[in-house]
Amino acid sequence: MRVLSVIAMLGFAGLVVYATSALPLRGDPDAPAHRYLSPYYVERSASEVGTPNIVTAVLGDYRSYDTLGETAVIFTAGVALLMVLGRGRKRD
Amino acid sequence: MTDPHGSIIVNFIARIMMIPFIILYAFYVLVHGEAGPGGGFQAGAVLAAAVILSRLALGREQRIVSTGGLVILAVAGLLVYALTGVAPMFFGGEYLDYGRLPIPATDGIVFGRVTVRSIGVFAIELGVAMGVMGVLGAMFDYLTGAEWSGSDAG
Amino acid sequence: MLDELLGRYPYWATAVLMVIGLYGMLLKRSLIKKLIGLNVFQGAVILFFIAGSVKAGATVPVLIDEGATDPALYVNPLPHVLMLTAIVVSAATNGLALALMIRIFDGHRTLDEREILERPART
Repeated sequence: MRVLSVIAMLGFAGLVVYATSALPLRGDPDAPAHRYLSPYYVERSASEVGTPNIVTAVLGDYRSYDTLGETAVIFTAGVALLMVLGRGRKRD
Repeated sequence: MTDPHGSIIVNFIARIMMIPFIILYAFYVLVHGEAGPGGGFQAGAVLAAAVILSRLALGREQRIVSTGGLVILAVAGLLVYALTGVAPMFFGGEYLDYGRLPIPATDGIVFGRVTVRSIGVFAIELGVAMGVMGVLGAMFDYLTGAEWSGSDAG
Repeated sequence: MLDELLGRYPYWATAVLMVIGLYGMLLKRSLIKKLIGLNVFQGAVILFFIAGSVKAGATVPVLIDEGATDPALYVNPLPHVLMLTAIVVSAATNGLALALMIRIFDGHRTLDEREILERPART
């Protein structure tokens, strides 16, 4: 079992190194990830939202519905913790 | 965990020198989150750090908010967010479409103006900060067992 | 060759961190150590995304001036947004995982995975 785990780990590492060999180099300004959608945010956030911080503009305006979901996830985790450890827990 | 540490040095440094400045810094991060690095999630985490430090160093009597207060804060944070989203719907907008809010845009210090949308963004950042602070602080209380009188909380 | 090395070392660091996290999750028997491994794995994913947002010669995604909106001036803001929420969600879910471990310890008096699987919970 331990041998299998070690083989799986090394295989996973090889897979990651092999998969990232096809990615653009770090710092490449022309990488596909930098050419789609993110220039829109950089160019339009100042005039459309009016906040200099682009991260805040995307988080709070363009993707605010997503952020609402994230906040709900955090809240749900808190409520679940209260239910797991709250009233009705056995004392011994 | 519920007893004060008992050391006057720990008590003084935590109460006078650290907690007020941590809270001040958290509000700076929250309010400044639109003009520079920062925002609701970070401010909530820093506020939760202040709450946890007050519990560790000062004990039950001098904590900033009670466990129930933190839970209410978490609920209120999510409500602030959701209601900020509902508000524009009364003025012909869509959910979370802050631009429709009937707030007059005034002159400001950031780019020489404050837009209605940035006010809406600040409102939801405030909700996020309240929610994160409440959830993380309440989690600390329940995990350390400070809710109960006993000390064997695992 | 040097370009390749400098351009890919964050990905290799990600792979190393992922293997460390997998080691913790697969081979350690304590549930706490498994959770630590999970967190290391999570950190590797976050590092991967942040390394992917870098542009050479670009600065943090905060506008210097209202007119300075050339995308080449700022790093990609999208991975920062996604990872910002991911970090806070991971903190909250860590709390939930620790709470579940407290309940497991209540029932089994141990956090050793093998003992938990062998022994039924005390009622």
